[in-house]
Amino acid sequence: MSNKDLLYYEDYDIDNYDDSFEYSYDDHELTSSYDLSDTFNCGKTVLKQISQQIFYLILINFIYRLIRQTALLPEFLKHLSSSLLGFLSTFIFFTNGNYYVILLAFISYGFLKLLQFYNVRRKGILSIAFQIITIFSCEIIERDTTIWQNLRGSALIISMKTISLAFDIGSNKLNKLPAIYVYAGYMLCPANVVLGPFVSYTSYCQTSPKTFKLVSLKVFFQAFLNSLMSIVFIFLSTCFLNYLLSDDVSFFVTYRDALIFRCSHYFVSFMSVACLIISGIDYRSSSEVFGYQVTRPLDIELPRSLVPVVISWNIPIHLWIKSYIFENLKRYGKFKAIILTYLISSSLHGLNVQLAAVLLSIGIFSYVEFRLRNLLAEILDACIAANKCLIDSKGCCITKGHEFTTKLHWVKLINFIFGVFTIVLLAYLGVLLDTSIDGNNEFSLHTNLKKWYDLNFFGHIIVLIWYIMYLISKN
Amino acid sequence: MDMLKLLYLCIMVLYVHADAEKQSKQNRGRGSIWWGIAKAGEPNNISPVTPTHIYMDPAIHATLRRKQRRLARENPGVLAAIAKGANMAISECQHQFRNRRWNCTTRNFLQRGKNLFGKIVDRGCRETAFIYAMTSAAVTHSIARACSEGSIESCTCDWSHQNEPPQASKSESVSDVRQWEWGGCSDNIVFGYKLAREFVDTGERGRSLREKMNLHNNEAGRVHVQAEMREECKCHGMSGSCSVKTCWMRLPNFRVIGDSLKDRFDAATKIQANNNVRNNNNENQIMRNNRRGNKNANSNSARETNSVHGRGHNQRKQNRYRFSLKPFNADHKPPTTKDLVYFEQSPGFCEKNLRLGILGTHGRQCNDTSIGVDGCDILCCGRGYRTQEVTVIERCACTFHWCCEVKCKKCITKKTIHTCL
Repeated sequence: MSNKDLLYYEDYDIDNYDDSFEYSYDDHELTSSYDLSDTFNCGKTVLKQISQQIFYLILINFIYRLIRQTALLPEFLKHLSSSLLGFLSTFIFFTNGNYYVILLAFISYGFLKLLQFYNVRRKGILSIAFQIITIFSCEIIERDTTIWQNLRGSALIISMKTISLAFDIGSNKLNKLPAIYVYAGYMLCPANVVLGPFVSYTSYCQTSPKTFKLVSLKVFFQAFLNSLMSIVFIFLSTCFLNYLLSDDVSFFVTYRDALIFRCSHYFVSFMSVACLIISGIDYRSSSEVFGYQVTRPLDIELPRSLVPVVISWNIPIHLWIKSYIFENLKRYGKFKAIILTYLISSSLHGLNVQLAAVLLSIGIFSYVEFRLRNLLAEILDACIAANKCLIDSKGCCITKGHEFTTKLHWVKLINFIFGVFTIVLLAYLGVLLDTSIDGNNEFSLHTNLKKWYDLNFFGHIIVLIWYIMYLISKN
Repeated sequence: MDMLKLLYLCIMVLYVHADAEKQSKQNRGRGSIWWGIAKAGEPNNISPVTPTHIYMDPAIHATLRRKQRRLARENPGVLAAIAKGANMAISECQHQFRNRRWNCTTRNFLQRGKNLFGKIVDRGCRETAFIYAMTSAAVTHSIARACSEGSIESCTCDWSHQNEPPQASKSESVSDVRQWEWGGCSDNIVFGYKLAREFVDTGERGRSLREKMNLHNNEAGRVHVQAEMREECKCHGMSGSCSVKTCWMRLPNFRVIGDSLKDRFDAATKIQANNNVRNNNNENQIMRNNRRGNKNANSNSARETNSVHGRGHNQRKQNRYRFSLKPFNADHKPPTTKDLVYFEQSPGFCEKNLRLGILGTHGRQCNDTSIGVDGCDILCCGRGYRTQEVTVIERCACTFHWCCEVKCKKCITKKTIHTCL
């Protein structure tokens, strides 16, 4: 008996044991019922996948820090190493298709050079148009949607950098276009070429002050804290939220899906801060604990209104949009400027219907909310505007001089109700941006606005009611 | 002396021959004794069974064949996964058949695991086909999952991240090939498939049609698990781009596999059982290819009705899975790997039949409004049913309290239940 057993105890070559098998995938919905052991299993999986990539990125940035801060090395070498290490990091993250990053950077340089050569006046606006056209045509030319999907973030960062350079040259902040190696170093800087955030040319070029330490405990701590936060958020995003909020109540599902998207954004943001801190580019710290802040999750998760959400979502991008796009469009009137700003920013993200819809909607929503709440604040003379009142030691509102401050319960209540509405609207907006990919490696949202349709466009209806309220109380 | 030796030899040969014949009759379900593992930890043992104790348990070892014991020994942790799988199979089977006349009842016969599902497995009917496919699928599922959870020492996550199924045809796989630079910890279906095959199929070695049927159904169960393997990915990056992607292959909930196997149960293929036209070519091939099986070949060939053929000597080890089964109705398509096959008509499940271990549908609850299989008309086999009113205490009017608490009231409701006579 045991002999027979032995004969069978050999590895079956199941890879090619039968090619006549009929093998077909049946279309089955993915079951999303997770249990706790699945969740921990998932956590382990995610950590294993992420850790390697992140380790390389941090290592590259650390090497860059060492090169950058070594006073002996010539500037040329520093910029060159920046572009080479940046290229390496795009290779690690994108593998195939990373040539697009290089292509975009150099095409943009050529265009800027042309603008400078002919000394065209509106360099900024023209370069915005050029960037949008380039991104769109890249997206159309590249048939493989996944490649462009991967690169979209990098392309956005590169366009933002180029546009900011064009405006700076136009407004004589910079007297001439930087040399190509400086430009390449700025474009492909390893600290932000993959995950962002936007860094201005001046902060890229700034040499470190004397007090700057090559390796300090503070930097280590801040980078560690940011990485930890980002890992917590990716766990939340990919694993634990599915478990914590099961799909029993329909609004919870909407909220959860939006929260999953936001957590994924926080992951990227915190990781980008960690890289930035390690690379030592922007050493001005805007926060004691985190060093530098790209996003402020608390402002978004517990919002007062949509305005701080828009600001805190991605602070560097917000500042960029404000100073380069919005300021230059202001002369067309505020509402038009807002709509145009959001149109431009969604175009720079590439051809993505969902993203454009969400961005435009959030622009309109926040504008309506801003006007309505400011009007209500004026009428009721209370601190219920979209932005917080600054309150002095006596408890008086400095900014607007409102009589009723947040010490009063009814003011608190109104702010709370608007806050709840904001959370609901964010869930509504975010649900469209779910980034799960199905087995076919395509975005699961081929029917672009289906999720909003399923929710009866309730977010837009809320804002429409707000607008009607605004019109009524205006008269 | 020589004569004596010869005589002795003759007697031996006769004895073996007779024994083989007897065995092939009796041991139709000998590949399924391991099912007993599902119940091994139950009432007989008062102390709770921890996974570490499970290998030591002599009751469990009694249900295993020698090769299965060796597999268990060589892959520490696998027994716990198999036991879990077996229990999963039972509960899934009972879920799938909760409304049928046959509702997948199990009994606790420790030593004879094949009697776990009753003597119904002695018949080569649909229900048996389902049980075999289900147990094999559950074991595959549970081993593959256990690998990625790290509870089997000899296997780990599937890092290769090759999401092409092993049997996909080559031309198909070329276009489907994707580069996963960062393959994650996936459920290890390759290991699960292999180990489940070795473990589950080890008893099905004869040439009889019943054994071929078992092999086919076991394989069908595993193929279903493999086919349901799904890739899950998530994108992370600036504004919804995909700079960082987390992916893993995940087996679905076992319910999904149970559902698709149930569909196959309803559309199971009946294969030729008593076909007297023997395919000589194929029969010869069997004898040529299976030198080991020569003894049995003669006695079995009379019963052999379906053609079983192998490829050649060099691929002997794969021969077991190289057979094609002919459908009973020649107009039907031959069964695919995913189809369940059977060759005997199912017995009636209406009345108690001790010989087949059928309990009958007496006293089963039924639905008087349904016209489906769970309706009283069908379930009670026309015997009629008794209607009772019972008071039931239930949780009701549940409200959600922030955060994370659900409070319910107790409601007393009167329910009418119908039970078959």
